[in-house]
Amino acid sequence: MTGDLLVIACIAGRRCAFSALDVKSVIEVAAVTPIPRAPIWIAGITALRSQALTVIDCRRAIGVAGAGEWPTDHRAIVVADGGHSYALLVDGIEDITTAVGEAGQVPGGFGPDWSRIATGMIETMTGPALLIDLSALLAGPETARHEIEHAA
Amino acid sequence: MDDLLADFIAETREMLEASSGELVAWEADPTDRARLDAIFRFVHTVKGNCGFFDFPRLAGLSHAAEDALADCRAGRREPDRALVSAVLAIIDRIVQMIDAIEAGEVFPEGGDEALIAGLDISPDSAETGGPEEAGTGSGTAPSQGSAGSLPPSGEDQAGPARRSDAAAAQRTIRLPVELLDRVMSGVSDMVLARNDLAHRLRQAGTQPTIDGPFERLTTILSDVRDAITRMRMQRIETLFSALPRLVRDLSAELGKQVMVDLDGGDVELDREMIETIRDPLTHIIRNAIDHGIEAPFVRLAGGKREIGLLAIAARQSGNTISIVIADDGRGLDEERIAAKAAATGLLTAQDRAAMPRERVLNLIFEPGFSTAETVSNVSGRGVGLDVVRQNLEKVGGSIKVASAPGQGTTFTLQIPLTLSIIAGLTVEAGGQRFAIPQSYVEEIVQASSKVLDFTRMGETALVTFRGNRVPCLMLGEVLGLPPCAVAAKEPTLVMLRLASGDLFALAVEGIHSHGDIVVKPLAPAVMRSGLYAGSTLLDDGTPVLLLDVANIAAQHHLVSDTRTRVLDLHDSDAAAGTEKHSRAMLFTDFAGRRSAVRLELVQRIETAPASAINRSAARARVVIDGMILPLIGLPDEPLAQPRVRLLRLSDGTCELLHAVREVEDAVELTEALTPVPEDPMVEAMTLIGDTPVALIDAHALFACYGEPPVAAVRPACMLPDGDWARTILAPLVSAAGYDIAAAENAGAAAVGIVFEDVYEAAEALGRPLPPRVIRLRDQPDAPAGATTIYRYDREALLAALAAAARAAPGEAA
Repeated sequence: MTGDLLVIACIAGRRCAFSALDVKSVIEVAAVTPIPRAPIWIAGITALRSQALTVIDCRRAIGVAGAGEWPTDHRAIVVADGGHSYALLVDGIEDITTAVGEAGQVPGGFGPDWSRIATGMIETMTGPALLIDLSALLAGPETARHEIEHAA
Repeated sequence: MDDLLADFIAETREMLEASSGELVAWEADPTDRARLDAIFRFVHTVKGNCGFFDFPRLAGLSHAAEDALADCRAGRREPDRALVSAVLAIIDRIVQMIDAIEAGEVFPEGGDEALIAGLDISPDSAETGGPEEAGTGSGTAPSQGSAGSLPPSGEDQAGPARRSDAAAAQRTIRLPVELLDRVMSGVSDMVLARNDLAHRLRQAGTQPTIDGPFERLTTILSDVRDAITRMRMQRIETLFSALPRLVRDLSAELGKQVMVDLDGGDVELDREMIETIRDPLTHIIRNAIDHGIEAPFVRLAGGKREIGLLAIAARQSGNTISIVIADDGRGLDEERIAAKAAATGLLTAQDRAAMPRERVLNLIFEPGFSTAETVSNVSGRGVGLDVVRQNLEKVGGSIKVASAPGQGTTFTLQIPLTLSIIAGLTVEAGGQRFAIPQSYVEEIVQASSKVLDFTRMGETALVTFRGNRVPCLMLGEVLGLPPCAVAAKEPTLVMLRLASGDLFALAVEGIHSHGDIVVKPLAPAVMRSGLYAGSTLLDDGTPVLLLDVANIAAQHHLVSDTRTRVLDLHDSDAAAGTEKHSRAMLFTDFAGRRSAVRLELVQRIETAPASAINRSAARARVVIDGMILPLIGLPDEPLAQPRVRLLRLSDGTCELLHAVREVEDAVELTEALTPVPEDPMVEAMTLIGDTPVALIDAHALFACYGEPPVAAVRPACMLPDGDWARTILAPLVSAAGYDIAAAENAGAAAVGIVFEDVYEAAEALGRPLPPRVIRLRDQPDAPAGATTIYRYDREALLAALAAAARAAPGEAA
């Protein structure tokens, strides 16, 4: 892990890190087409050239309380998972930095919502950050998932 | 795995796929020298390639087979059934080993010696067979149950499908599919960039220096797009080539004799689509052999040939491919299907009585249905035809079955050419746009809710469409969007016909456009909502969602055969009971009068933007589909609304348009018609639903406003050279009823317009001149006795043209 490049972003006021290998690009978010009846953490779809990106609101995908109150960066992080591309909405995108050390746990954990989507805490050149587990983040919060399964 | 090994595996597979049909054909006729050579080449190549790698067992097997075949080729040995079976068994083993090598597994030891020994078994000891059909070409291969040592390998033997170039004449290269996809999405990006650029160029106005190259770019781009699409295409042969072997193995296992006839292998379709239909096709073939085709003795007893025929044909028509799988077996048993359906609760006794045979037969695609009483290991593996239908519907295809008792069964699969490009309709709901696959759209109906007899029964809405009550879904409600007042009062209904035949209406707020759309997959979390099948980009780059019509209908329980039928009004009985009345289109004109016009006159209902209407002349005109047509019924004051509904009326030759405020409905003229002599434009007054309605007099209407029919043969006129003639003279001449003709293809009757100086020169030089000539001069003042016309003397010119036209018909006819 040491020496890996990380993209640091701010989600619900917390410093979070994405592995730079996962991040395809950072884009300016154009118009987002909302998807009626889609889970709440999916803000809609947007076009990146001829590609359609699913826009994920990371605050809602984690399930933090008061997700709507955070500011949203006009840029989004583009990632790919399982053959689909996603644009992640975050509070702000800070910087690219280098990891110093491995991702590790902290005593007491990060709280259930955050523990679900975090690989662990990682020390970087610019301070500690929470390393995000991408597929867990994209799966959405547990509660919402149960609701969908009920509805289906 | 290194590249060399990967190439070896791929090449072996490819050769095997190409020769799979040959193997079966060879078995049918072991003396067929061409097939023998093909198979010899295969084992020979495998053996040679093994030399590069350390595969002693592969080398041993292929060497033994090669030796045996070499003996046959040299005439030292007669190829017989036992030999064929032994060679096939070795080839199967080679395939299994190749699979193991690719997967990096160790192939279980032993068994090779037995296979090799099988090559030496004397012909007499292994002979079992029955009567034998001669092989009749590569497409047709009889198969039968020979008791070879061959393990049934089913469809697995072909391995992952690769490009099969049986013809081998074309040079081919192997490319990873991702690379193709990347090129494809690159081209899609280019198309979008082009659209954007086109938009900007239009804003900037005409710029000849840029427009020319831009046009060229557009043409090139569309060519490239076509070529790229073709790159994703694959001949259906890749799928077909594995079938003879599958049929052979199945019929051997089931003790039946089946001849397979393949047709249309050159039809191309998207390679992913080929993968999608591989399983459904296999399933249907299994069913046909297991349940459809009878055992040989049964067939003979029934007066049929003992060898059953399984015909598989692929055809392309437009954007769909149909694949027909027909057997000449016992056919489907309607009674048993009905009984089974009743037993599983799919059908009640009442329904059964009213249901036509075709509908009963198609019950076999219902979930939880399987007629086979004994589940053999061939069919009935837990995957029913319902799954087959589901899988096909997922890609926008459909399946149906027809069958005649004792004569056979025909399955027809309809599948779209590609997964990725479909015809779609863009609709609006809640201020947002959505796309609907065009294939579901039966009709679009625009009318007030009163006309549609819109009613709510509990939570369900119903509309009346052609005398049937049809369930209606509000797209806004389905999607949980805020309701829209306009939509509720005057909805646009998209009538959707599901693959199962069920019809339902989807109320939307507006229709935007239709055209080919490129479908992109959606993220799984979105797909789970069950409402969307994908997304697509509009021309301006905005993403829209493609609705999953079949699933939406299923979620609202609209896909059940019994339900829609109960709702049928008995309108066929009603129609039979009453005498035939003439029908009329009822509308409200701009003066607020309710009027009607006989339905036979109404060609269709047009909607034109106000900008298409020109009122500068004495009589208003409107441009529809590039034709200028007379328009009546407009209010005197300027139009308030941006679009006008127009009735397009025709008497067979003339057309005219009648502007209306609102189109109501087609009605029957049941009440008496009272003539109205004081108004020449009204044929009669009549009662429709207790209110008086003026029936428009078509005779008077066309007499007054119908455009005189354009002469079938317009006289031709040749013009002088030069810009003046082209831009200033030509419009005048065409308006006078002439076609502008070039000198070389004008008939003898053509009128020529020439300048005086040209005329004189031609006369002096004895050049040929048209028989009738109108001579023009440049000066307004004519020299005395001149037969020329000043070129801006409009009246004289028109008179001369009219005189020429009057003279012309006799000659032209």
